[in-house]
Amino acid sequence: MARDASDLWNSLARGGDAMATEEDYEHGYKREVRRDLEQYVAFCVAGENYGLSIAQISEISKVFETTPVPRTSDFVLGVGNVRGSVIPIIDLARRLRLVSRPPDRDARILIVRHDDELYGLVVDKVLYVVTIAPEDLEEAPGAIAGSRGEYIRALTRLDDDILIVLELSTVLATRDFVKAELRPRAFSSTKGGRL
Amino acid sequence: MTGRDRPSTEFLSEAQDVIEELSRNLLELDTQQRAGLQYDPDLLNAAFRAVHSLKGLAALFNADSVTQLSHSLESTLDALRLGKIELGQAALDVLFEAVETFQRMLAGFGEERSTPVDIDPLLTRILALSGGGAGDEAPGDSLSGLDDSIISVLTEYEEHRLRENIRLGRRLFRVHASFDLLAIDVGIEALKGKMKAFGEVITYLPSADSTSDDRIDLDILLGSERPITAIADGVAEDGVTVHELVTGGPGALSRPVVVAPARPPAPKPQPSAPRIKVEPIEEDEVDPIVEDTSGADRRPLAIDHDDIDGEAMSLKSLSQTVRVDLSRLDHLMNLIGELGVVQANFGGSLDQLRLRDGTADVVRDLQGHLRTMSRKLSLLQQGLLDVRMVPLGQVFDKLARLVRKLGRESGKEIRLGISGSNTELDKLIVEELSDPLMHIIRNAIDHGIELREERIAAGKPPTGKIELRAFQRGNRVVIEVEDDGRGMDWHKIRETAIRRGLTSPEDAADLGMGEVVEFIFVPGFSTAEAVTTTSGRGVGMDVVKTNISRLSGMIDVDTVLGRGSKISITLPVTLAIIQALVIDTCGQTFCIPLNSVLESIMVRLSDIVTVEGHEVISLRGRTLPLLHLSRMFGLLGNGAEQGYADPDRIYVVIVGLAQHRVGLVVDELVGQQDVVIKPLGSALRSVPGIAGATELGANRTVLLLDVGTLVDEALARVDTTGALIVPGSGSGSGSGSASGPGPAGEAHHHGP
Repeated sequence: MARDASDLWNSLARGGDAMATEEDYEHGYKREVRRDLEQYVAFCVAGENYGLSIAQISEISKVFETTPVPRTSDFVLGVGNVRGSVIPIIDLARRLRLVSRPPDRDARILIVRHDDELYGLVVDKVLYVVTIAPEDLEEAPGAIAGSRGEYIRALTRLDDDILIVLELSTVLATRDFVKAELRPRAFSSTKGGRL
Repeated sequence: MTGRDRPSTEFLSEAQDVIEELSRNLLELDTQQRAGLQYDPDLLNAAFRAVHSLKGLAALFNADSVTQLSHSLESTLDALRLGKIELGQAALDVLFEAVETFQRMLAGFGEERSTPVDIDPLLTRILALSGGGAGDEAPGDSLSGLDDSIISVLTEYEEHRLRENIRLGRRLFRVHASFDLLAIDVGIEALKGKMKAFGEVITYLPSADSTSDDRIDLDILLGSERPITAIADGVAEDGVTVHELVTGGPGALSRPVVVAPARPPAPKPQPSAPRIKVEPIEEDEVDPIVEDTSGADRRPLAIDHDDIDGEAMSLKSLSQTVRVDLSRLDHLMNLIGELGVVQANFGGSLDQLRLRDGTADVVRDLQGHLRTMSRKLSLLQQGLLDVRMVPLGQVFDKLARLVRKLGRESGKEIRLGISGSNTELDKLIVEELSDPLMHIIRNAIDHGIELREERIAAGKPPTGKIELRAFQRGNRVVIEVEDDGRGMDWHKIRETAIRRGLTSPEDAADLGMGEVVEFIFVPGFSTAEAVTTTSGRGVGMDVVKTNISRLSGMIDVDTVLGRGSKISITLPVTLAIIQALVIDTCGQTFCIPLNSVLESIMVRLSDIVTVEGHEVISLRGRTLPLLHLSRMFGLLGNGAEQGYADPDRIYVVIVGLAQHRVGLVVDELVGQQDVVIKPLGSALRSVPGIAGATELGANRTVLLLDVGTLVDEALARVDTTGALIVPGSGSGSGSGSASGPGPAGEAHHHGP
């Protein structure tokens, strides 16, 4: 469980052309000891450290301009264009009900793939890539259930840090994107006949 | 997509093609059979081959149930073509049923888990069909006059066709031709084409006495009603000889009535050198040799009849078409869209360059290149759009089957006329069309076409008629479904609407036919007294409307009581690229599909009237509710109008689908542009009023408005507060009501 802060990371941060270098693949295959180790990208949101499996991230991009979409929830920053497709961009801090701050030089957009669709998550800073064994993940941590519990898949301890692994299916629950009062139930008075 | 799925998608699309072909053949057979004509045996053969290839295909991909069904069907079709079973409506019923079953099975494969289609009942029916068939014809009767050397080499099928021809009183001819070995497929095809005009080609027999090693001589057995001279004129122009075979005559074997070639064969003006061995692949002339035939020692066929027109043909067509996944085309389309953006950026850079000194020449050069590029780019875009186009024929075939089935079920005689099935539309639109068209046809058959007695009593021809037409009008395609049934009684519709509370009796009095007919699109609306299996439950037309408007199409109904109805659907040719009006409001840019924009006007603030808290304007006698985009979307502090260039005037874009119109208030009209529409993904798809996104130069993503939803919303809002009756609309002759009955009705119907 060491931090491979290294070339791999640099290549990721540059704009995410490739997630893993060829060298890395070689590495992974040669190392036959453990097959169930998974790599996580760690990032910072409102001072807390979060992680997502590297398999869920398709690229990491600098912050780009988004087009606001009316009638959406406050955490939806809008839509942006990533390699020809239009994808929703989310303010992760606001989604996790943390304090959101305007993006600075370190801010990045993680382009994640969920249910075969791409989403952009704005984070304050991308930290490192870390390899975690499944047994080091604390599933469903009751302690921090609270209001954010639903978005958390697991916790893991790294040196002194705690890394919170996000659950994308709740973070990106599609029904939350549209403003509450306009969700299907609410606008059935005008649209009901067509659904 | 996992690796395991690939063969199955391949199988699905290929099987789909085969089944469609089978269905087409059957439909044609059905038409011929019903018209009382002799059916074309080639169609039956083609159907047989289709099922045969389906069987092979299914076995290859381990689709056991399909294999089983096609195997059983193959035997039936074989029996049919051998005349063991009579080809009648009963047999066709089973065959069509099989087509439907295949379709259901294929649909089942597409889904993750689906209940397997139970084919046993169908198998039983197929078996029953085979069992109840007519017995063999007494052999040896009609063929007695023919040369044994011919009969001995005929296959069972060929023998059957030979008997059939004799039974029909046709004459038999032996056509002798000689082909270059390397070009024989082309030569035979050409000769066959000519002969088919005269009758039926029964078999091909190789002839022993070939002149040289690189040529094959064939005797072709032709059955025809025409006299020998006519046939000789038709086929013998290239020097092919024709003999008439006498059947039934005592001992007469082959009376050689030789017809000399119409032209001497030697000096051929054709550029192709027929005797040169090396290059005859391109030669598509039948290369003739005239000679006497002495029909000795004929061996079984070297070239099988089926091979010639079946496999050889399909191989050819395979090499010319490529199956492409639609998503790949979408990807290319995206790339082209991006290239367009790059091009726009180039333009921007060029403008900056122009500001510098000493760059005039370079700028001019670059500008030239840029223009060329943009021309090519639009050609590329057009080319790609053309690739996505498919003929409507696919859907029409499906509908023809439906008409046949429903007609048989309801006991009504219906003739379906189809025209314009080669009209092309974007693949996606064609897919989406089949459901709405199916509903319309169902309605036409169930409510429109009367029973035979009723029609006769009304002085109409006993057979009902449904016309399915498609044609292109400008950059739109119109599809019409017209029946000559009883039409819709719009007074009755109006009564029902009042009874159902969709409109008040007072309002209804002002409604004209055009508006009243709109009620049929209200969910759950039906005037039918009784519910039948096919329709009458009031579901259907609202689905039709929903589907059509999702394709940004329009639907019009035209009906005359007692004479029939016509439903016309107008659709854009493609949805991938549309023309859009670009507008600004509160500093944000939006696109409006141009096909829903009626006009853009400037309105003086003083012309705006407030009715029950809703702003309206009157335009040419019609009252239009105004809709502030900024307020609906909650942009920049509700309804801030300070941004307008001229404080006294505002821009209003009149938008509407079909009869329902509203004025959208915007800050600025930016211009018109062709845009590539991109989906927003499942998370944002349900945002009401937004249909998609697109890119406008300089990497700017812009949202595309969903006009239909916005108009519905606006009208519903006006309606719920009772502002329906606005000055100027109540007194009209029913033609200018600002709010059509459709949405008003819907709002009442679905109101909280």
